[in-house]
Amino acid sequence: MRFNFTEEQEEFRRQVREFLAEDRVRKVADAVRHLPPREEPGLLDVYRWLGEKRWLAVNWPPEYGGLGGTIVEKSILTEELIRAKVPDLVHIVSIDIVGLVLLLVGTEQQKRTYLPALAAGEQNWSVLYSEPGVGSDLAALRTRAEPDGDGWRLYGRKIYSLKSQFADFALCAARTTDSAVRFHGITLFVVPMRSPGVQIQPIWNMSDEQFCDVTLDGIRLTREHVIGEVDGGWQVINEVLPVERTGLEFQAKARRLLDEVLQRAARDGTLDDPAYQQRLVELHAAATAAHLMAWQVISDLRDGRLDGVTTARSKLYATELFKQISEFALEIGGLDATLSGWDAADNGGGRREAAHREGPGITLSAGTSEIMRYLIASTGLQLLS
Amino acid sequence: MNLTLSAGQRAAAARFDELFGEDMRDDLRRMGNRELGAGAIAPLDEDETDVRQAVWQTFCELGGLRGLTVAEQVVVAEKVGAALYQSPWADTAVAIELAAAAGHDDLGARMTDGEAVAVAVRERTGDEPDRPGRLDLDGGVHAVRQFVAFAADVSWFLLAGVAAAGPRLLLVPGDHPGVTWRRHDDIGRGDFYEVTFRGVPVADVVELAAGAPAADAWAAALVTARIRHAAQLVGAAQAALDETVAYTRERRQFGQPVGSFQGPAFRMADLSTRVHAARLLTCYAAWLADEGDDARLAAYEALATAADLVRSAGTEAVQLHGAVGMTEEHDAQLFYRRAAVDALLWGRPTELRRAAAALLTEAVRRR
Repeated sequence: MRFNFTEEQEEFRRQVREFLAEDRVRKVADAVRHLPPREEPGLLDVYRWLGEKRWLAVNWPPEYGGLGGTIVEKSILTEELIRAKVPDLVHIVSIDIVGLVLLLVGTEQQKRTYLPALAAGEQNWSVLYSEPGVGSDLAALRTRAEPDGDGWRLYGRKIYSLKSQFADFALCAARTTDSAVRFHGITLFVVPMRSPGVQIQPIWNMSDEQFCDVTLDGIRLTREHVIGEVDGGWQVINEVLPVERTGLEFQAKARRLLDEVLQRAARDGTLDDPAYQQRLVELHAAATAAHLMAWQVISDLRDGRLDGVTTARSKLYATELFKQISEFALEIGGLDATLSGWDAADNGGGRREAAHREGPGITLSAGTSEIMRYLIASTGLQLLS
Repeated sequence: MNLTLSAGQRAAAARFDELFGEDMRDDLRRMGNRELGAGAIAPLDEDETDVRQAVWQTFCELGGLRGLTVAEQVVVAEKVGAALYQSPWADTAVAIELAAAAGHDDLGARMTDGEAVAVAVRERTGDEPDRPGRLDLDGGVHAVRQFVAFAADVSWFLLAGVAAAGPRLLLVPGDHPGVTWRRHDDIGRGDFYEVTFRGVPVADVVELAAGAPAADAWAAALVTARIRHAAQLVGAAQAALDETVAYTRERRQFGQPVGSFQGPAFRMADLSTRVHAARLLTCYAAWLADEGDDARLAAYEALATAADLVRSAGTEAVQLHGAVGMTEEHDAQLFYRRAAVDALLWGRPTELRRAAAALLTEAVRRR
């Protein structure tokens, strides 16, 4: 076992960190922090600057705008973005999820059409999976692509997606064929989000990021919009889902929040109070463990191994830990920590309040904690049968 | 970054596949068992002692104490833990490290070959190993020590203590007439003893270290001891989970296996996640130690995490087995009872976290 990074990887991390400390980046991060209620960051200039350096999709082949690096460099970038408080969600959805799907099953034409703009930070995508009544049980989805000449027309409603209001395109799962085996007959499509048949309404929720309610009303799609095989979308979704579950960004967020709690506790003296120290050490140990679990998944991925159980454990552990830390951040901070960033007296403390509103979403997205436990129990322990 | 087991770790583990395999398991797990309440008075059973010695010799011949990195030691420790194998291994490893630091390579080699050692550090039963008890060196070595493992079997006592002139680390021959012992009767029914050192002549004792160097050496030895112990607890937790998974897949209620219900299954999934987390923390601490980095914080955190885990694993094992898990012939209760002792043996988790907090505080303030 080797727990350190290579010289080159450490150097890459140094360079990224240096860039993220530049004034122009700090200005963007500050502006995001001071956004008024119900406004949220979309495509940021920082992404474009990262794209110019070919770092945004550093793990992609050079012809699509990357540097031909591995998922290790990609993960270093993600950790550093989170550490530097630069919003990472648009980036994660576009590069790590959609980009990966295109790389895995896209045609050469699709890769050349879509990937360079993503890698340049000039476009972003969202993912349209969940529907009213359809969450964890995704195969029950009702959005339909109805045959129309040499293509389809897409009808349905997708909810709880993130960042769709900024998206140029979306990856959308729809039923193309009714089948006795319900996992068969689902197809993944590229949906141009600026089409007239697409309507987006916000669903306000307790986090800073609105959910999108997307109505798809007869959008015309052709073979060129199909990602992977017609009727074969389920396999792709399942192949990509574990990659959303490395736990990497969740442990990085947990760690950032814990660091903030520790710094504050050092300033106000609670760090020296044995009554709080016990829990702080427990959380610090768990954050270290979450970091190791995520990096184990990342190094497995780099070596071509993808184990759905190891990823499920990592995702479960990191996200549940985030909620424990956010809860303790309020406990140790007292009522001060419940003040939002919009409170007149706010001195940067609003991040704890925002984190506590963010927590419930991360144990739900990319597979709920219960689905993770199901995977660990069934595939990992051979239970539940 | 490569978090798969190294070739050295795999080789170290493979050496013990047979000794700690299925065939030996039942015997190993119950090697220390005594009649309840009989601990203090029952004479040592010679057959039992012979078996214990034979297993120990095999363990040493297989190289359980020879030339292993800390990272390799932890994979062996996991096997020891899974087998619930109670032995002088942990204490002897500490002594070998201290003997090497003191330049007693000859003694270290003999211990590596099987001269077992018992650490004698606690003056009172409630003491922590970080604070060695009093030592009186007036007219020979005088001391009382509690929870001394395998006192009846060992070749040496590693007596840690604080004399009027400061800390001392001494090796006292196990069969010295000035040493007497009586067995404790503890919840884990382990081989623990109260040992009395009554005027052992200084000439019969090997002094490994004295003064500040003794305190430093002891503190350093505790770091690696805790990493090994954390791994042992991870192994025990994993084994308790494995037993529980196997049992709940077979045991049927309401016409289906108990493990097919989400209630029990999700609890085992959570436990398996915690085992995985504790294992990585332990391996990380071992790696730091091998790299010569400061492993103290990682060691405290790994052991506190593993100690909490092993108690949960024992509790869950009994609960998910049902009443059968409480019966004497079943292993679930063994895990539960041993966890109670083993979670405290190298420091209460609360104390470990207290010590970790001091280091963490220092690190945060430095940043």
